[in-house]
Amino acid sequence: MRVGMIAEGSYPYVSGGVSSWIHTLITGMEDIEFSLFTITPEKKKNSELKYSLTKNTVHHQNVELITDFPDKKVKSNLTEAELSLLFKWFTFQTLDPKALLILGNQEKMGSVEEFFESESFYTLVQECYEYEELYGSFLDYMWMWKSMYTPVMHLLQQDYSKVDVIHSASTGYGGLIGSYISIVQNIPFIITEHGIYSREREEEILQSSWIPVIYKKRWIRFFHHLSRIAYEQAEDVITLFEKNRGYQLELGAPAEKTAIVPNGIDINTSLTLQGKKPVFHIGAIVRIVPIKDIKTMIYAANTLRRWGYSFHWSILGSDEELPEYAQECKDLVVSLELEQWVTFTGKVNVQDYLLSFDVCVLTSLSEGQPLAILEGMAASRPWVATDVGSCRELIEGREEDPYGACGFVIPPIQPEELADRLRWFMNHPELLERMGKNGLNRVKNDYLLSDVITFYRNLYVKRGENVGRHRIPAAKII
Amino acid sequence: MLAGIGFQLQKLFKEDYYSSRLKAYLYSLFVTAGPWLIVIFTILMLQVLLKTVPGVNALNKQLFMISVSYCFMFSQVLFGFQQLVVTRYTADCLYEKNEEKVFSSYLGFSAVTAAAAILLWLIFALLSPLQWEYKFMMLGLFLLLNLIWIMLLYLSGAKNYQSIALAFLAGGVLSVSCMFILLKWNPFPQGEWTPAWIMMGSFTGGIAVTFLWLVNAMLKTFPNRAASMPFEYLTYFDKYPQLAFTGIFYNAGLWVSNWIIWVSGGQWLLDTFRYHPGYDTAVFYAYLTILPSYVIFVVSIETRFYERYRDFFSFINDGGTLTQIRKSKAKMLLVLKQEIERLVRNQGFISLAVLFLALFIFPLFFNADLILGIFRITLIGAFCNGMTMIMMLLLLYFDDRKGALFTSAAFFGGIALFTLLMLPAGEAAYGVGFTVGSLLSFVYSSFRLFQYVSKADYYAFCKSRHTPIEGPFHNLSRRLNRLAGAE
Repeated sequence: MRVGMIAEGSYPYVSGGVSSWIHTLITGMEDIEFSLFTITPEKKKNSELKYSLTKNTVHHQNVELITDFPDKKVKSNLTEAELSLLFKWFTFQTLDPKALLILGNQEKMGSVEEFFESESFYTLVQECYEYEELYGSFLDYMWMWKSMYTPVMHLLQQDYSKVDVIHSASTGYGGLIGSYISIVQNIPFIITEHGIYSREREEEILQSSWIPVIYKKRWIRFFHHLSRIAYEQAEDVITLFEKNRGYQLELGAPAEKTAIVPNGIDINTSLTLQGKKPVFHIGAIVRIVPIKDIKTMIYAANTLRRWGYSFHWSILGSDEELPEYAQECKDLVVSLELEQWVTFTGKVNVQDYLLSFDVCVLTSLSEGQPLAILEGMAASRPWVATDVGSCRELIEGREEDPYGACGFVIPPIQPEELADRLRWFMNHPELLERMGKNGLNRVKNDYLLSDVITFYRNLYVKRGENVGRHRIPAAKII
Repeated sequence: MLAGIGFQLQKLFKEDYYSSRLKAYLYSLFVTAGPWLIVIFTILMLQVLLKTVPGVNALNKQLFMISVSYCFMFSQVLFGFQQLVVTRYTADCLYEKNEEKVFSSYLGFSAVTAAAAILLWLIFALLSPLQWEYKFMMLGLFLLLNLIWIMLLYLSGAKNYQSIALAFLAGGVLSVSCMFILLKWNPFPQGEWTPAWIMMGSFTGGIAVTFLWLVNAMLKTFPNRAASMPFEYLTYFDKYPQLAFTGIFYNAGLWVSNWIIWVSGGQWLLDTFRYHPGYDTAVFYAYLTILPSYVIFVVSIETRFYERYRDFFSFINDGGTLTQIRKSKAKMLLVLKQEIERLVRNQGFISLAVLFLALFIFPLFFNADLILGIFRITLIGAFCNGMTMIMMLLLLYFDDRKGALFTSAAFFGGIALFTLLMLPAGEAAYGVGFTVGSLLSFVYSSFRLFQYVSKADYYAFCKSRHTPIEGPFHNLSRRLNRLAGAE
């Protein structure tokens, strides 16, 4: 059995998050072959690999969103009916899978460049402009069109190797080619969404300066449209936690397809206590990047010191991703004269440190379901984390959770609040162990990696079995 | 190409009373056809003068007139080969705010042209039995003319019309007076070809004055003269080969009927030049009749039409809505149609008038029915010829390089083909090929123009802008730049 795994902008070129999830999943299923499709913004070199591919990854295909190389010349050749279907698809009026088949068919569409040079395209874009009644600069509208649909056409016009089940780790472009592969190869499609793609794009678009204000809404609708196509085509729409499932339903995912499969972690029984500090030891397992809001930790440390507590704060994690930001944080530590209280360890083996922590901290501005928290919980450490993503669910437990909280959630960017919670832990050392236990119990029951892997293996097998039996091939309807 | 003087003219036209209107037309005539008129006038003056100077035999006169014509003709063809490409290059430099590259390209353009001119002359000189002194004199004239056309391109681009016209005026006056004085007093010992030599010398001297005057104007126009990468412009032959071919075809098309007729029905002069006295004269006068077209073109198209053209493109490039783009396109099309109609009507009227007048006036000057016959037919051809050129310029306004290429190819091919086809019909049918070919290219280019302009927005938005970034001319350009030590 071969599963196609689609990673948009992540595995194997980025570490952490979705990448490590995919890597763990593939590593955990030695009996299943994987075809890996990675969507990258531009060409990638092998030297940029952050993970070496596993033995059961039998095929790895990189697809760039756009290429610099002009593609071969194929004239656009569309019938009236096809054009009117495209009109509806481009204006988000239909999710008809036939539209994807046309977009991916170079004989009909023409190559990307040729299509954008064709008169049918010009007619189409004028009709859409009038239909949408936006009345901004037509040149900007045109640019928007080209930048929206160039990647779409380019991605759909690739050849994708044959697989039995296709699994995408996001909607967006990943979801788009997942849907397409599913339609063309007539195989089931599974989505696991970690963050909610269209919401993330929405934030980016609203903050962007290169999109004219009048066209921002259309960009947002475009990404919603892509998500909706994927939700429509998929058999399973999986996410990590309840809040995200709510968003998916809101964005049009059919409820009966949705499921929650949280992240999982191995319970490491061989943890040893190393580097125990003589004082209260606070640990943070984070990459040094702005979205983790390292500065809030530093300010909180400053407050604690002002209050007269003795403690040590270790920040574990790579500082190579954004060296300027890392430098800013280090400078801040120096200027607050906190060098004795706060240390940056750089990238280290987290397992060596976990048991030495009295409490763990996460100050992210945005999260999905952070593995860091699960790791800490598996090592029975209590937590203070910001209320983003599924942090609250992890720390306080879902509804009807029998185990009890393993720490506190606080609003993001609140150094005083963070300091206050840490002070509470320092004042109640007797409760540290009990809270840590709560977390460990929850992990054991709800967040075991073996459960996650078993779930996906079963799902692949179940969906894969159905190929060619109950399904009507969409490609044959046309 | 001429865009730019329109703005000055608009001012003159807005005060709508006769004196200023007249001023505007005269000004247009001056700036567009000025140099050409002065050169023609000079030659006509010389012809008249020669009649009054005794002692110069017909062969001497012919040799002089034909050498000058050949220098003009071939320098135009040589220049035409690069003209459109260089124009495009300098326009791009200015658009990209690389003004300093413009003067460098002038140097490169001149060097390449001079080299080509010398090569061409060498072939001529080795084949011709003329005296070497005379041949060297011809080389001088040929080189000067080539370099002058180049400066004209740059100076008219910089809208330095006044100095252009003055330069030609000065050169013309000097040629005529010098020649008159030298022939009248004849201080040189008599020799077989002395008069031709003197005439050629005087004329070349005058042209040299024009040349120096223009050089002076060039130096004033480009105060910051850099000479880095003078041959970079050659890369545009890879990028826009159509422009080079358009230039070649158009300029060759102007002469191809003469060439064919010289070969089949012409005669030799001194085993060097082919010519056909009747046909050449008739065509020369026919071309004179379309001079007004230049003026009308500048006045009507470059003012009224150009305004609409600018509006249309500013709506496209600066963020107009679709409705604004469509409306401005409709307006532009309407004005284009009106102005072309007016151009055809006015020039048509003038040509017709000349046609009738010629019936009465021609016999007074020439006692050959043949010339009148050819003149009458080529006059219509010249009309179509002028229109073709204007359509071609308009196509290039819209960057329809393919259309311009097809037009010029049809122009050259049509004239060549029909001239050849009509050869069996003998002298009576001379000029028919020229006219039919010109008519065809005129008809084709008008269709092409309106078809293209009615989709101008589509082309503006959707046409591919990819140009090759490598090619044989890129290599050549690099090599020459290195040779010139400017890389």
